[in-house]
Amino acid sequence: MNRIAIILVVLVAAAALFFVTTLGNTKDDFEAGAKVFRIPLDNDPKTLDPIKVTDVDSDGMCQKLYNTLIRLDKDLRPQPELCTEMPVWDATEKSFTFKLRTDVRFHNGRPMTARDVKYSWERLLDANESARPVILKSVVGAQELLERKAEKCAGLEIVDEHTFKVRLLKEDPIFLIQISMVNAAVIPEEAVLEAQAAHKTFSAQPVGTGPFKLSRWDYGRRIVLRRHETYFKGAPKIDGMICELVPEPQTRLEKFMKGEFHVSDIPFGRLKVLEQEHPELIQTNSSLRTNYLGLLLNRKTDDGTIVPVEPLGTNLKLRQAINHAVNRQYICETILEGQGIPAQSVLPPGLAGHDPEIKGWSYDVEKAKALLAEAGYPEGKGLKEFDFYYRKDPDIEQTALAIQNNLGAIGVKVNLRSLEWNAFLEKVYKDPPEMFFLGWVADYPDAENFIDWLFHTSQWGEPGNETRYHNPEVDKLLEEARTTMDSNARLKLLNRAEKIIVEQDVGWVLLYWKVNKILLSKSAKGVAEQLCPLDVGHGLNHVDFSKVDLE
Amino acid sequence: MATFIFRRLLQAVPVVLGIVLICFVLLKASGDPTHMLVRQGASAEERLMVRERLGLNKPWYSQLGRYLMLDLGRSYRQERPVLDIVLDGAAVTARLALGAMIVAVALGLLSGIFSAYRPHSPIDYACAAGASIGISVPAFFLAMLLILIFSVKLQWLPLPAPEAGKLAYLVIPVLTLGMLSTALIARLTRGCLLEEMTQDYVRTGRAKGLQDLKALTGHAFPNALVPITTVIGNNLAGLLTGAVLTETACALPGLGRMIFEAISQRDHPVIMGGCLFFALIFVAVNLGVDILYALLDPRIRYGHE
Repeated sequence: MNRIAIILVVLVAAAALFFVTTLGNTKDDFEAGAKVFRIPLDNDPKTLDPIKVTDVDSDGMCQKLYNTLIRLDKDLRPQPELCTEMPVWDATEKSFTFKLRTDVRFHNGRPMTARDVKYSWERLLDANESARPVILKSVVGAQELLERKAEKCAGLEIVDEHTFKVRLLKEDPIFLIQISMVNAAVIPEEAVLEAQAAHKTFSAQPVGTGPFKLSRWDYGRRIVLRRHETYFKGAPKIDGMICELVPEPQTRLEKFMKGEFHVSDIPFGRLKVLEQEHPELIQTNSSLRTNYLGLLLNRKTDDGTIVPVEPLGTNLKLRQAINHAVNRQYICETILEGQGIPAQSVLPPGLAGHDPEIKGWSYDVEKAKALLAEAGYPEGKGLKEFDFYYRKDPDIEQTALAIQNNLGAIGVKVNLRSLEWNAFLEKVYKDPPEMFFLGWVADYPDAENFIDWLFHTSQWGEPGNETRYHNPEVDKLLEEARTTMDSNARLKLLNRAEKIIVEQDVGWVLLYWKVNKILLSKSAKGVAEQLCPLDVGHGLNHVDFSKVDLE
Repeated sequence: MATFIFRRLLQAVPVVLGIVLICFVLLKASGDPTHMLVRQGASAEERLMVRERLGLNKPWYSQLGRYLMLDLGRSYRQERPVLDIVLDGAAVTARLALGAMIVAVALGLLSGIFSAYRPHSPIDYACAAGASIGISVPAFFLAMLLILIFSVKLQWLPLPAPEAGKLAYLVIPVLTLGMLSTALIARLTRGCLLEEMTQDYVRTGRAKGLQDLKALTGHAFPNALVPITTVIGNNLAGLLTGAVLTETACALPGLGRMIFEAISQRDHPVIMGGCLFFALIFVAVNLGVDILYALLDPRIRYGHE
């Protein structure tokens, strides 16, 4: 019998161990009755260190912990945040002078000064740590610091305790927009040193000036934020936030419906039902994302000369035919359930410079067939089959199928090839396919971030010009725009380039502008009116939570 | 016994090193991980900077050497040491595996014994049907179904949350995970018991007036334990390496999800750490099972052959 006893002993011991581990006392983060805003996350943020942020999740959390000198308002216009007024451009000295607010305190209680701005920005130029030193590329001495040829950045000057001057190498019309990115947030040096002394990263114990401070980060579980009592815009009305990781979208939705979250995303395929049952809970905002079907236009030979690719790069009529063949309305309404608008131009609506005059290409099968015949391929005869690459994702897969059907209807044969995201990007960068599905989200809301980044010849391939578009006339317009400080004149130049790209050269097959739809609880006050095109997903990245209240 | 254990531990060394080598080759063959780490539209220089920071520009043998010395370093994606990440996930997974195993062993053995006691009876058929369902229902579906029934409709249990320390949140994942093992153990127990019951020693016992139940539990069962222990061991090792689907559905940050995310984000050090950990688990569980054999079956002796 003792063998059965062994089994029993092992079982009972295991059961005892199991129960003991579940008895740990878990303290609640907030007292009963506290106002806690609850947000679901689908992933841990990569980092809470502002200079390392490149993704939406990390940006969302960091926006709650930090402030920048300039902040973009709802209409994406730069406004003073940590400074008292907008800095004026000094054309002779090529500099901006920032008057800093005197009432700003860090989470550790110390007041912020110009020294902190200099420290934070020089840290942003540390090649070993920083993910986006490019923000400060036009500052005098930035390159030297980045290459470690200098200790300090000569162009960042502390004039006095609350005055900070930045000297630029040349005119840079987008500098103020770029420094509104959270990467340029102001942090205290002593907090970085404290983290180092404790053998931790700054990301694990971040200190900023923002409306909330980090209380707890349980990896894979939740992030708890507490109100910053001495916040310079006044202490937030809510006591804190709990951001809980729930990777399954259906569960996020169920928990939202039960009131366990104040906001949620909408799982793929559920929008139509929710719109009928709970229209009052759905919030819609445009987002700065343009999705397109890329056609490979040019390639470089071994000696670097640019030659057009046969037949897509050489045959304009063929590109026009493909453009007329795609049914964007179907993609937006049936596949995306309204979370997309047929795109007519590269610049999405809501972005300064969006030009409604550019009409793009309509869905017209007869015209497409006629153009294909004019291109020399009546009903597709004599035309090769194209490989169409896209990222494996349910909505993109459906879109790709629709495009395959549309093109098949006029006689252009397309083979679908799906890849996982990393493999897909590698393919597009190194061995570009002739057709691919790609999108672009603005890093910062400026027309330059679309037109220059995606079409200038110097952006060839990986940096953004994935279709390998090349037009010297467009390059010239873009280069002129790079140093034009007058924003209207600059946008005009960019629009002229955009018109050539879309209407004359047919550089892209524009598909749709993404629309962001989320669920928002009725008890969350002050959120809906703040949503703007910078809010993607359900992280409420750009909402100023010091103005948010809960009922 | 001590020599046996020592020898087995020595054998584990080439196994672990071999796994590191295979993982390393596969990871290198899967391409450059830096595309996932920089923003879309980053320049080649930015990517080179990242490569340098992560030590990816060093020659392959120096990168492999670090892993072979079991120096896992930091995750590419999270700013944390790989060891922390793996141990964090392991704490959650161990709890789930333990719970699932308790359910599986208790239910599996009981239903197996019942089925063998009265083969081809309604109870036996019911157990067989239950086991077929347990083996064939996908974990993700089962978890979602249980959530829908017990959390959404009946509201007996809370909706999933990353609370690996509270019993109420563990019920659904433990049942889901335990289901497959329960079914396997039940079927195996029944089969082994029925086979033992046809052996001479049982027939002799029954001829001498031994009751069926007594013959089954007292004589056949202890002898059937060796194969059952093997299956339990293998299953436990499998459970300890995490369960992506159950952990995802139930929002628990276990090893399965950790390594799945690491793979989809090309977080090489974490993948490496996970694989190493899994290798160690399998070595340890197999060793434990071998030791249990010796305790369960006096004929099995290790050491001085």
